[in-house]
Amino acid sequence: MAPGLLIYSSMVVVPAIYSVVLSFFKWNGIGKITAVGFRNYVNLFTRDTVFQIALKNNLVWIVLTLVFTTSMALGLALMLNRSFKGRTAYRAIFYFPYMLSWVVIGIIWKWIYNPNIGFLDEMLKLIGLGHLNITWLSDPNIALYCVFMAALWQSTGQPMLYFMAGLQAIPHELYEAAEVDGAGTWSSFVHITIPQLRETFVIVFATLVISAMKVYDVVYVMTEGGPANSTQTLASYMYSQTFAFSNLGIGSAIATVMMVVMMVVIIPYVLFTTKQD
Amino acid sequence: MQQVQYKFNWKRLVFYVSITLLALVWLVPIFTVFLTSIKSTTDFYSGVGLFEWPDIPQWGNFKNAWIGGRMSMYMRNGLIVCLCKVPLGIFFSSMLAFALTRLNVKRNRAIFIYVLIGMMLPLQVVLIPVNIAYSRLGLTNTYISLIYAYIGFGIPLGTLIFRGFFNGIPKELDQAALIDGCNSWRLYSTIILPLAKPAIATVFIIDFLHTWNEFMVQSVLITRDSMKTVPNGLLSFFGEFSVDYGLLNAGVLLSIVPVLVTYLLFQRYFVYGMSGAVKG
Amino acid sequence: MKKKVLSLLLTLALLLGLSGAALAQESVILTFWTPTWRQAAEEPIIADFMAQNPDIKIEATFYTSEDMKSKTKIAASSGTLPDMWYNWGGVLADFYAENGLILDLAQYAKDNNWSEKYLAGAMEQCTYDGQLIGLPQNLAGLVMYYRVDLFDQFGIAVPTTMEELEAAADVLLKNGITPFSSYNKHMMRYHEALLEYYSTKEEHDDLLLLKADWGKSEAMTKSFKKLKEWYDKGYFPADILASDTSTAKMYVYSGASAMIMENPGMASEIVANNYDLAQYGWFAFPSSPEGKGRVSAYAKMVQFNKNISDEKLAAAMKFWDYYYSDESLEAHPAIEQPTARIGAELPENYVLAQGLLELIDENGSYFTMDLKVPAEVMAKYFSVFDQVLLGTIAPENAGAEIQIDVENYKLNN
Repeated sequence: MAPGLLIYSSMVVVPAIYSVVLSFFKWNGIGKITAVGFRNYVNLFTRDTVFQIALKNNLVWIVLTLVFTTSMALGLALMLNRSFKGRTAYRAIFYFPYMLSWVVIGIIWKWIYNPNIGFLDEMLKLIGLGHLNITWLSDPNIALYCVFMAALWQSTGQPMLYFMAGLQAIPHELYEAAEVDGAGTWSSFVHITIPQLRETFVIVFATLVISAMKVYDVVYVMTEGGPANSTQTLASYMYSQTFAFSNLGIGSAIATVMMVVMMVVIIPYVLFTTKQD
Repeated sequence: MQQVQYKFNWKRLVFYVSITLLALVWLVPIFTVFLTSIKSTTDFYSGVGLFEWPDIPQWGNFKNAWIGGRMSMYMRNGLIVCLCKVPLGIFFSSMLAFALTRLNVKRNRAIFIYVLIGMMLPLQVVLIPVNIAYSRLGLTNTYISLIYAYIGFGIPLGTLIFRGFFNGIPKELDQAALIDGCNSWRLYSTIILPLAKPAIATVFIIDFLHTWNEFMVQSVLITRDSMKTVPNGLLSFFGEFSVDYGLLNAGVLLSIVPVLVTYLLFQRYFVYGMSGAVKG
Repeated sequence: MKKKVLSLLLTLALLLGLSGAALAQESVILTFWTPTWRQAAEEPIIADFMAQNPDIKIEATFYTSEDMKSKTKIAASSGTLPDMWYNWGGVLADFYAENGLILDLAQYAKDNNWSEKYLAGAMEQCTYDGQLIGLPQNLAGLVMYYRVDLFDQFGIAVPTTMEELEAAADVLLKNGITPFSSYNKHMMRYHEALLEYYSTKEEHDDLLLLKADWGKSEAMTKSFKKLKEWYDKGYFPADILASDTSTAKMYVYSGASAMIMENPGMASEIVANNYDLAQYGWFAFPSSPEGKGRVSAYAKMVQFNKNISDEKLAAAMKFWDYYYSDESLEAHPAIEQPTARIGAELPENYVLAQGLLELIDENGSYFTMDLKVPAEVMAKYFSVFDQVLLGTIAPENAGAEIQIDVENYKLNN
């Protein structure tokens, strides 16, 4: 046990504490370091409009992922939970995008959205809607959703597996009993499947919220936060503050905010999973 | 369910058609990658459509990406890191989970929470402190630094999955073993671990994926081209000037092969192993 | 068994880690960070140089522009800068001098008569606070590269005034060709040229130095208005706000777009890729009401680590002397032109960079905006810029919006 904890502490916890401390300072990473108290936080919440957009985007992202990724994953898991020929192949197909790195996802979807030669453009032409000429990623009203589509494609596989594992753990007798009682498919879904998957939902929600808060690479590759900061996320903004503007204090403050938001979500989850002991 | 399987069943047909359609849609993006990977730069400029089969398929793109684009080197580096990191990570996190579930450690719940907090931290946070520490120790541009960092980052998820799985192994086994005179190391290595194969397979796949695809930490800790792993290797195809999209996409396809192989090797345990995480 | 495997793996990992260090014994090793767009040119230069100098090993790492900027900063804050690295100059280069991370080359330059070797303009661009903060490589100016064949096809003469430029754009537009290619970060280039067109030299310089108020500048409003007008007319590609520099250039190479405002790196690229030289030409953007005006310019340089040893520095200088020697220039036609060396002749196939230094010499230059204005303010600028084009901020208010961040920046620094 000890070596694992040691590596973990030295690699993750200590640096994180260092960074929380840093959030109360003003420092460019090289020169003089000055204590500023809570000023970094006050500025973020009262004056920094980009931070506010980013925070809002992360929250929107959480909602999107909880609604769409979860239902997509659950739907696929239900389909794949039946026994049929080629099931493992289908499972591999739907899991497949999760095996790709975000860099690859970004590269692929940037192609798809290219308004001149991209896939969607060709598709629209094919069905006679070429004149619509939507500029996908250039439109700040839809850019975030376009990036989310890429993320949805990538990240459905993992929760799908969680759901499949959860579905397998549901005792068959429950369904058989329900059938005897004359319950239909829908009714047994609502009254058996959903309640029985309670624990699975908890882990799916928790992991999805965590990854929604950390969204970075896909935005970086696809839009760099633009246009007009409309796809800026906390992680991408933190990266610019830290590495482009050399404001290590502000960057650390953003990271701390991210941690706090995630803790609010994850602590109930952790308490829930450890309750049984 | 069994008896209807051999009769014609329209419900089943609808099911097959719909799942197949869905799978095809799911594969469209990767199909475009494939078509792009066999096109030449001139194919793009002369406006060959995205879905058109090129006049002369450029199979040479794969060879060029492998040698000229140095995918062979990036992939070798990636494999070295993964093959050291993943088994070690499994070892450390399963030991940790074993201690938490089997050894009556004081405050095991607090320790578990402490470990899970690591899942919440944005990795960017640790980049600078870790980089400073490594440079003081003279460890930048070594595989060891990268492997050590990845083990640290991977411990929370590994522990979570193993802990859940170990909890599902009946405690009576321990008692029997203890009566036979097993110490806890033997209990761990000869009884629990062999039973945990599905969990090991699961962590192996997930860890392999994460390590293979990790981008940010790697791009800070490794600055030598000869030591880059795959994602950063791919980005170096993305020259500021004139991207050769054919070559890039061939590189993308090559980079997928090892993860696909890993998945196929271990997938039969995958869903079952995941149940550890799900049951909590 | 498990233990054995583990210890084996550990040893293996250790060995791999150490093997890097073992190599370091034999010769002088120079680490060098440089942009990916120079990879095609610099890899053979380095290989040839190392073949001639077996005692010197140069380890180059190639980064994309954005990575180049962030990775050097990360390295700066953790003390892991390489021995030498590429820089665009301006605030990006000053940063390392301000923080005492670079070797001041002033004395070295004096001892080695650099004033006879390098163009005075380039040397001046590499000077900060009395220090010589880098070895000048190129003097880059932004001009309009255009497709000669498309201009011929539609009977367009090379424009010399703003009116002619707009007329040319209209003709192209009517024929389904996007006049100007670019992407949002590089649209700044068109904007600053328009700013130069509408303002006096002094006002433009003061704006860049944050001495003048962006919110009260008439020229700022006019230039944003003009750009918005161009954007609305369809002078730029549809995906401009979410594109990137390679896509923007691809439109020109494919003939979907006819002009692009670029630095002479474009000329190098066309040569390196064996594109048909006859299809390309360049002209000066009419940045003054009389026609030709000042050019947006910057010096590209190499900076050296302040901790570099004398032995390494000597090796590095040997490398740079070789890099720009006649022999190397002939053997490596993809070297970025025009170089900052006095009397260096352009290779024959470099018609596309011919006359650029003379243009800068004749008309003078202003600093490229993102190299003079601090990154925080530029981030706001780009965001406001996008919003002006999208119509959510009126051109009249754009300057004032940016000025808010100028004030913030001044307050914090």
